[in-house]
Amino acid sequence: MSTHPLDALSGYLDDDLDVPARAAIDVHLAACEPCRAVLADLTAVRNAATAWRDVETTTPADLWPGIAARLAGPREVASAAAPREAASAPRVAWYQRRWSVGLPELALAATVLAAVGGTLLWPRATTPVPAVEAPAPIIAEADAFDSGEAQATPVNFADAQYDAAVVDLERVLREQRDGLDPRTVVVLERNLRIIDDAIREAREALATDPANALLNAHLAGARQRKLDLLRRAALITEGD
Amino acid sequence: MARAVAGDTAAFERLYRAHVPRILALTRRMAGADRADELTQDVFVRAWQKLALFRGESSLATWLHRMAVNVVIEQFRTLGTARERFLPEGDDVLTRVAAPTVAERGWHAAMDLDVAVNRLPPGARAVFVLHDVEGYKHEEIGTLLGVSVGTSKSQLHRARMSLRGHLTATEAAS
Ligand SMILES: [Zn+2]
Repeated sequence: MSTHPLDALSGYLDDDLDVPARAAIDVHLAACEPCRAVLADLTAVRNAATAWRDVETTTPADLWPGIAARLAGPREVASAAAPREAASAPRVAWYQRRWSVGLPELALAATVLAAVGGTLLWPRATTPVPAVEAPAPIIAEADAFDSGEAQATPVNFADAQYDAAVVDLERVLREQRDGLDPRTVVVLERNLRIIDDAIREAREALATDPANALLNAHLAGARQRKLDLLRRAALITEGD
Repeated sequence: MARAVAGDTAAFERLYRAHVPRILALTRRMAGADRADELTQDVFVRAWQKLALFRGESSLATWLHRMAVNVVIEQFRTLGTARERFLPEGDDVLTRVAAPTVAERGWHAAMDLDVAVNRLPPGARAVFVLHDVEGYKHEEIGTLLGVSVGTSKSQLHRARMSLRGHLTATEAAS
């Protein structure tokens, strides 16, 4: 037990060792509690990374105007036709602009927005990693978080403006629901449910740990996604 | 797609809207929030320039994803020396055998990951994100980063050990 085979534990975890090397690690692990603990930690880190993949970020700033301003340059192969609205795109939130995206694209956008089941839309860039269980939203394991920590500044959940906007948009959707493509409604409602679950779980976790900045950011992100999704949906119903 | 290729920026904007959340998430993971916005813009400007070269052999999402990885890697190649890009091969991060375990703290580990990953040197960070988050193989990572497969494997291990140490410390301090 004089040497712990630490350098080999990632290879062991990734099933990247030949049979004899793996067998030697098995023998060592059976007798070595510290190495088992390290392996468990490495597993936790890898699992956290897998879950991280499906954590979407909200876009605080609209990056499009900066992109649009740079589209006038040369393009490979394609003709050099001058883009019509290349420069000086007005800095208007995109959902306030004209809406020319069809329903299937809304469904797609909703899927992107819901941002929890990343596998819905996003094929892995390469062959998938060995099938781990589909990662649950990380927030779902909030119960594992230490409770009983010192309570710091409580968070104000009651953002009246936000709540009013959501209520309003939900009403519009209810009223217009029958006019929407049923498939779109299914996608929308499923994604709203996912977001609502994330919001509820974030709030439950925050009740235990009100000062947790990351949890607060997660909650804010989920609320923003919900608002965005509702706005898009409401715009679709107007466009019909 | 066809209209975006032909120079229709409105069509390209829709393409951007559909894909930016995922690309921004990737650039943030790989390069940190400070540089992610700029890099994401670079990705879409390059996509615009090269859209005509997109052959449809992969999904557009995959094509954009690869382009984003390349943009990030090109950028960090210009930062620092090779030595600073990777974790040292010494065993200083490998000494925490008896440290308290963070296993079964998967949730907390995930929440802190972006903070912890920010502290890795860019090369080690790229290896970790590409392998453990994005699912690339060591052979692909070696090609992308211009390092051997062995280096990719050892940097992955060191990154994980380093993150473990950080997460453990966070846990103990909280
Ligand atoms: Zn051991």
